[in-house]
Amino acid sequence: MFKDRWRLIPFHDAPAAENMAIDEAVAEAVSFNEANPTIRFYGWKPSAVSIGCFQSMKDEVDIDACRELGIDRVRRRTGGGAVFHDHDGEITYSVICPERLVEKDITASYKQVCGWAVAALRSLDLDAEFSPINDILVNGKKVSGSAQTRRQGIFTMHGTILYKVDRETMFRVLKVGRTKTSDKPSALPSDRVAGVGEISTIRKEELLLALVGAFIDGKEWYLGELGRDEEARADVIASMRYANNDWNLSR
Amino acid sequence: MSWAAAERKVPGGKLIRLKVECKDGSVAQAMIEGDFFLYPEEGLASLERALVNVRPSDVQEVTARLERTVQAGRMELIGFAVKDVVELLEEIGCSRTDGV
Repeated sequence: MFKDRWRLIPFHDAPAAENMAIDEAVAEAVSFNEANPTIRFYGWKPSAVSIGCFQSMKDEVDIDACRELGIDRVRRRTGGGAVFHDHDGEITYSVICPERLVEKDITASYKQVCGWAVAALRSLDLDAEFSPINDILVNGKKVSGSAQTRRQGIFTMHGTILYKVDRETMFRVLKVGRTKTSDKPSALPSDRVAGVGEISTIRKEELLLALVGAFIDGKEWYLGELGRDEEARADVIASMRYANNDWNLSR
Repeated sequence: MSWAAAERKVPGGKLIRLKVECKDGSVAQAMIEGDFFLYPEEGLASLERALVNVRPSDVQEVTARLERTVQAGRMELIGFAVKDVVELLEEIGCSRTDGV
């Protein structure tokens, strides 16, 4: 079926609000059957903090520190936790498709899509494993987190793969409370995360190639780009929501 | 009136933080926040509304209201459970925050 051909949008950098708006615009286009199921890879320029839709911006993020460092803030429309997206230090992906193309069960679908990233990491000889609910570990350390939503029959999941962790900035801009890690063996949050480039000699370009290869593996796909309608819609969504404090500071 | 909060990291799950404002021993407003997942996401507002006018110590009533809301909204809670909200609310109580 033509509509089950996946569109692969190659890696590109964008500001936080635009990145989140593109995911939503693509989901809309897919729901109207105007776009194919889509996999996109992207970076955040400038670096940004994203928070889950149920989190409080003020509780999770040091807004003054972000301003001082030129770091964007955005509330995602997915749940999950606060993430520091370092422009140089990570690769983000989004998978946007009709729900019928992924596992119906939410936990199983996290495992399914994280499984593609796990396959990429294993192809690079890293000892990667899925760690429920939504993480990927290498040598026991978190290298990836993800979050998904399902609306109007459309599945959207985005996730990050850490390459190099700027711990100093990360823990300056994120307010990581003690409660969050109270059930984890390691007391220091910075000890629980690692970047692929820190635990191996793999280059960031190699990591991206491996991810692309694993995400399209077994799928019918083509190299595509955003449609003009999607771009225009993303601009509207960004200004109405993701670049708007009514949304970003709503909690 | 002022807001009081309690939070917990659900073992193997997510962080949940409950904030409530009390009036006359009952909940006047509630906010449920954290890094959990809830589908559909709009369901959170109805869970928060379900806590309005309950007495935190009335565990049965709080549980029943939340469970009814979850069922009616066909919600799926991931990383936390109704029980966590009930226990956090009980921990906050409304007597000690009342009239502050």
